[in-house]
Amino acid sequence: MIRILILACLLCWSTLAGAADDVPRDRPAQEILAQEILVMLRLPAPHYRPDAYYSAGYRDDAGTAARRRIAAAIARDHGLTILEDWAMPALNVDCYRMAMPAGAASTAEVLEALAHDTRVAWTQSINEFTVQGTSDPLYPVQPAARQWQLTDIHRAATGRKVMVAVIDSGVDTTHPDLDGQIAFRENFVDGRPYASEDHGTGVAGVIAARAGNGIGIEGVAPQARIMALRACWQESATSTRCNSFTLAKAMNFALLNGAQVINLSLSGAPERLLRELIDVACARGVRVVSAVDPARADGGFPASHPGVFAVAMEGRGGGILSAPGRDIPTAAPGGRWVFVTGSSYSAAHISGMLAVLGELRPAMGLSQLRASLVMQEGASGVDLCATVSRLTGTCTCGCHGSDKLRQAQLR
Amino acid sequence: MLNRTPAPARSLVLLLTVATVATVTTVSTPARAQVSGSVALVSDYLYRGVSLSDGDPVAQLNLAYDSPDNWYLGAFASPIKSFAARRLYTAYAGYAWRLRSGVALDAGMTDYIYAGDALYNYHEAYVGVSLERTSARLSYSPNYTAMHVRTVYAEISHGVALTDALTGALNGTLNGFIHLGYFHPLERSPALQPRFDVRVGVTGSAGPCQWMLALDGARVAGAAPPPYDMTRRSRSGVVASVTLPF
Repeated sequence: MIRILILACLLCWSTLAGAADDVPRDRPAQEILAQEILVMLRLPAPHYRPDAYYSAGYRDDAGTAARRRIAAAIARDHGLTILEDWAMPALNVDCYRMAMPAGAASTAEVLEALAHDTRVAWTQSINEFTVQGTSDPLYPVQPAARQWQLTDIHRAATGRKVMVAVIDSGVDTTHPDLDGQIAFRENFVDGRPYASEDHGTGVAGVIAARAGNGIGIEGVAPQARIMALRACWQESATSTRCNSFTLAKAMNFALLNGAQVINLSLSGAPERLLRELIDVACARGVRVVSAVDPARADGGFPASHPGVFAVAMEGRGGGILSAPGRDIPTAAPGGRWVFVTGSSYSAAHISGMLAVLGELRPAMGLSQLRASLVMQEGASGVDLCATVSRLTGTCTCGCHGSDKLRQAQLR
Repeated sequence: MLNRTPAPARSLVLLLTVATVATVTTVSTPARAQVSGSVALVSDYLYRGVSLSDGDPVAQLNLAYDSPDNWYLGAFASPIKSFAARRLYTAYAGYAWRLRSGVALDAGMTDYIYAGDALYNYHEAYVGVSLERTSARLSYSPNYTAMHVRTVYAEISHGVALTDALTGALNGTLNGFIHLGYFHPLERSPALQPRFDVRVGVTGSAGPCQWMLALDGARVAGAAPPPYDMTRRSRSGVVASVTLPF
């Protein structure tokens, strides 16, 4: 009987040797974006099946082969090629990245035709997102240390065990100031192996650089757990890019693995896929933080999306928070430190702040959390000392005898 | 009553088979509905720790239909060597959905039909919950194998992804899993005993096929079984299978 099985195995392998189910992934993510689209098939909830093998994750279940068959038929009917497949149970869809035929003019016609194809749940083009950071060295001191009195704050809370997802370019996980701070390291950029890159490393450093290790800087939440989710790639010293698919894969992973804060220091055009993932995150009480694009009146997407903590370098009103973002010393790849500027790093400060508050009030709902932030008088910056004092009910910063009156007023 | 015909059940399976073949080959399914299935070769048809094929390998067929509205139905067929029946058909239907938190719930009913020996036909109702890698199910039958005994079966499964180092070599994925089950008759019966079953193994993919290799064991809970206990056919040992899903 075992012989029959061995025979069957050999049969399978010999007739299908080398015939990988997925199309070879030899086209880097950043090229030919204009000729690629995302096609979503419905992903049924897992249920009883006598043939259900014990899969270890959402990417492969008993219905995967059927969906691949349906996707292949859709691709054939519309002249497309399947490049990649990623199931997203958070949205009840299985997402297929497909390429247009070579030389095709635009995706609009195909998207229109697919909108009428009843096998498809919905479709979307792949859009580009850019990070909001520039580099500009000046002051050799951390603004947050002065503005937020981090030494005092860290006596009350350090963001201990709060999971913060940094959806960005590659974080240097071997950096001495990030040693032991990384809970997950994943690469969602197809065609490019994981690399340590400037923007992601800088953002992670602002949030959770180790405190008291005698080197470098002190993160806003030095005991937070970082999920280094590489969904963006660095093309040059001044250009780091991401796209809808890589960001969605990273968001899906963050949601499935317990992220409590998600940092998106990037901006692009509004779109359904990210909007829906952010809505799911907010519904679960996950704090989503995004950097404002100063060139756009509404701050850009996802910063302008309801529920997101939008952050800029200076006050802009309209519920947008401001935090230090100019001349911020932070970690850089290769065990170095640099000074950076940009709303990306303002967002990172707020993510660190939310991790600190998350240690104090992990179950607080989003709107209640926002209401509990104490703002600096007449400004859009957060008075973190006053906020933490309000949440803990005790004096946090500069506590001397004369401050007992202030303490009573804060209750 | 002894010749209670399984014809309706056979028709159901036949209908599903025809529908599936037609769907897969030519006809387009209703909007967003999905038809799927698989053929499998197993070295021993071990069901809840009991060998239904008397330790021999059998080929099995499974068909499933997922509607766009969260309900599903399916059918399963396998040769067996228990009782006087030569084939076991299973027809099932249920409703499964994901909550916003990511937890998935499932509830349904299964009909077990023994071709050629309809005396043992019975129904079972179940509820289940799934997280990303873990799932649990509770099944209840008012008349297990038509022996006028109410039974419950509780099970839990957990999977883990194994090292990526082997993934490239096999051109597929490699996962480990464990499955624990507990079968409990709610009334005393000379023929049915409470028992535990365990399966620990690995699964992987090779091309379009899925394979499984596992250790499967069962142990009767409590005193030794009486002579007429059907679970005496429980075996501990290795089980392997190859499945081609479509």
